[in-house]
Amino acid sequence: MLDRALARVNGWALDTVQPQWVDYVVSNTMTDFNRWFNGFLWTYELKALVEQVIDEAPGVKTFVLRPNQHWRGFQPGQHVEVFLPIGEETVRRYYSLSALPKGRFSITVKQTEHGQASRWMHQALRVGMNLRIGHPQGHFCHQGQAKVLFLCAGSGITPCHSMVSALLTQPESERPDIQVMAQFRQASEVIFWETLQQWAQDGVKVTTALSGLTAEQVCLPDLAPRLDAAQLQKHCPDLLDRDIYLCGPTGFMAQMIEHLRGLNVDLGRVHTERFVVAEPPASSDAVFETAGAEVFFQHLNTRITLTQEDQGKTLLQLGLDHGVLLESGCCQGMCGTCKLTVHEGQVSGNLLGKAVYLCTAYPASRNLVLDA
Amino acid sequence: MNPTCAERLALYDQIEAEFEAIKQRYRAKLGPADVAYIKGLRLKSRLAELVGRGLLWISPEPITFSLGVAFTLLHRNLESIEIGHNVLHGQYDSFAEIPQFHSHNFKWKAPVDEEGWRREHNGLHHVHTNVYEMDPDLNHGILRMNDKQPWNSMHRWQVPVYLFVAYPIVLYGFNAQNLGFRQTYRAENFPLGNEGYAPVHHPGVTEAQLKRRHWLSISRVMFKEYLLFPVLALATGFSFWKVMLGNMLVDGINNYWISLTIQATHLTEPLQPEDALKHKGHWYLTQLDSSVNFKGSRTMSILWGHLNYQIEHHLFPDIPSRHYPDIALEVQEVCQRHGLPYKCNPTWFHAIRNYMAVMWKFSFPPKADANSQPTEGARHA
Repeated sequence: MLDRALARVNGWALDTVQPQWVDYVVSNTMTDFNRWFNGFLWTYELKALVEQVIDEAPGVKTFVLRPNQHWRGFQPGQHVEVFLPIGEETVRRYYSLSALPKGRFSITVKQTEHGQASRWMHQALRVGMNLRIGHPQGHFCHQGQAKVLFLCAGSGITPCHSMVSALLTQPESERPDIQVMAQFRQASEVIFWETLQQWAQDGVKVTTALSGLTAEQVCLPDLAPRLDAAQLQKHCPDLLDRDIYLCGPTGFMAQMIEHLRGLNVDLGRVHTERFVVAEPPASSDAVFETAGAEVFFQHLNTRITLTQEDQGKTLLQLGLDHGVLLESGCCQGMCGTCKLTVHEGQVSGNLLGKAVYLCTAYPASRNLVLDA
Repeated sequence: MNPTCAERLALYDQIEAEFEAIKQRYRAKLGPADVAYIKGLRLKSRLAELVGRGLLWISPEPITFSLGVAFTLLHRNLESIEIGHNVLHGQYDSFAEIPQFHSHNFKWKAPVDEEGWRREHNGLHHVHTNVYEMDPDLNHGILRMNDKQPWNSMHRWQVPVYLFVAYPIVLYGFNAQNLGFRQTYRAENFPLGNEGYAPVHHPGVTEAQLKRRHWLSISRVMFKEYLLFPVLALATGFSFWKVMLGNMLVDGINNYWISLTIQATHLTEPLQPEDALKHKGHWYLTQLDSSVNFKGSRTMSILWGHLNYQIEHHLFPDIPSRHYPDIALEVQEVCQRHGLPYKCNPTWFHAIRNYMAVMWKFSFPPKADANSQPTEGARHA
């Protein structure tokens, strides 16, 4: 009862008041009582409120989430880490984000047979509950190419859905030439069925492939059997002109890469997304290769990708060289001005608990998230 | 390399090793006791606030009113220095269980923008302490505290201006300085502009954003102290003006207390070379030389935010302040062994008196005939 009322008040506050004002009031009134009474707003963590649960298809649900004031938006195609309180432990999963109006977003979850997380979300996650979430991650975003093909399977459609929806909001003249090929096992498992129809009406060439069909069973022009090289070429004759955004289960992605390679597609124009699983920490005695590693300064909502030239630089130097407006002082680990907290990943050097002195510490994992 | 230079370097190395050892020892000691300490302080501050504001609200006569002022003052004092100042140094950043006391999360119950403070105070003042034109706190506002700095006619009035105008609102002044508004004033009004002063820069931040942060940091205090509580009193049938007056007194006394604590522990001390950071040992020596302690009990030290242990605070700014009295014994021992002066006034009164004398002295133009020796260079050298 009280939870419902609080959820409603919180939703109202976030809808009516600008996030920066919510943050101003909340951060200046952060008492133990407020944190206990209304931990959705009075918190230092990014959380999201479940506002709606939609049945998309059998075993597929979409959860509409309302993030709190710490949310800073996302790029269509990015994914988010969700912390699920299952029993005693916290299970972490990544889901693609779909933008919704008024600061909301949704994640679509397919229940898998042995999936502990998806089962819990389908059975226990209800409207009005709060979840801790991470800041959006990933580079699987449309990079401005004029001709694109979104090639996806199963729940891999979600980042593509997000990107296509965003692209369709642009005026027709500025919009790229979009084609979508989405494969599902059978007709009843198609996710975003209505949206796919809508896109077709909006002038996007949509092909829905059903891996359970044989070529003879296909009765509609925009329906295809299991995708292979021949089907790809048939439904997308200008494949070589397009940048391809590929997302789906690992097996599907591996097959598609093979087919695309066979069709002489430049693999440099194939953009893929795998939902990352936490990597094992880098071993401390090996020299850490910075090239390609990422550092996310969460409090500034700034992400930097390191290069070969960043080898051997301190975290502070890296940040400043990449134009991050970090606070700093003596640069020798004495004044403590540059201290931040390691949220995720590993660092080496001057570290006290989770507090890291940027000026005298170095990155030590491919993915590093630092927070205030 | 001449022998004195070699000796110096050897001393630097030795000092660095010894002070780093002290720091590591105390870093290793950090634990639940520190968490309990800061949480306990917050609780005490809250209780004092409850009693103080309650008394101010309902007090029918001067005695209860004065008690109300005293308790509210205790609350504001704990929040502004022993809690706020120390937390903003990141002294509690390493304890994951108390995010409310992490330097980037913490919101001060003071009219000061936290990021501006961290950048100016932690990043400049604590790094270039008493360095000419590099330490903005050496001569904040219109203050002139050394021979090197050009004199102008405004300095003639610095003693009364600071005692009667600046100190009762010192935190508001620091806020303006941290966000870069004081240097704008000097650039427009001083004959030599900012010569002799250290400006504070905020790269990548626009003037409008700074003004907004300035306004936001002040208005939260204004709203609570001068609108919310007086109106609450009024709405419940008590006096608006009495609560307003009480809160003004608290604000003024709190600011005055802070001023006298911090000004008297730095500004009497010599200027420092700007290249000290090249050697950690040299840097430690400049920190030792640019601060002066004054004696007081452990309880009183809490009310001074442990800034009477200014030397220890400057040597190890992000070790929780409750350790300073113990660290002081070790620092004194190091100083004694190396024949370094460990400066300590016997009482707060002595510290204030010394400070007033210096402030008075530098409010006058340098005498033409006097050999104005820059006080630069560490005294130990």
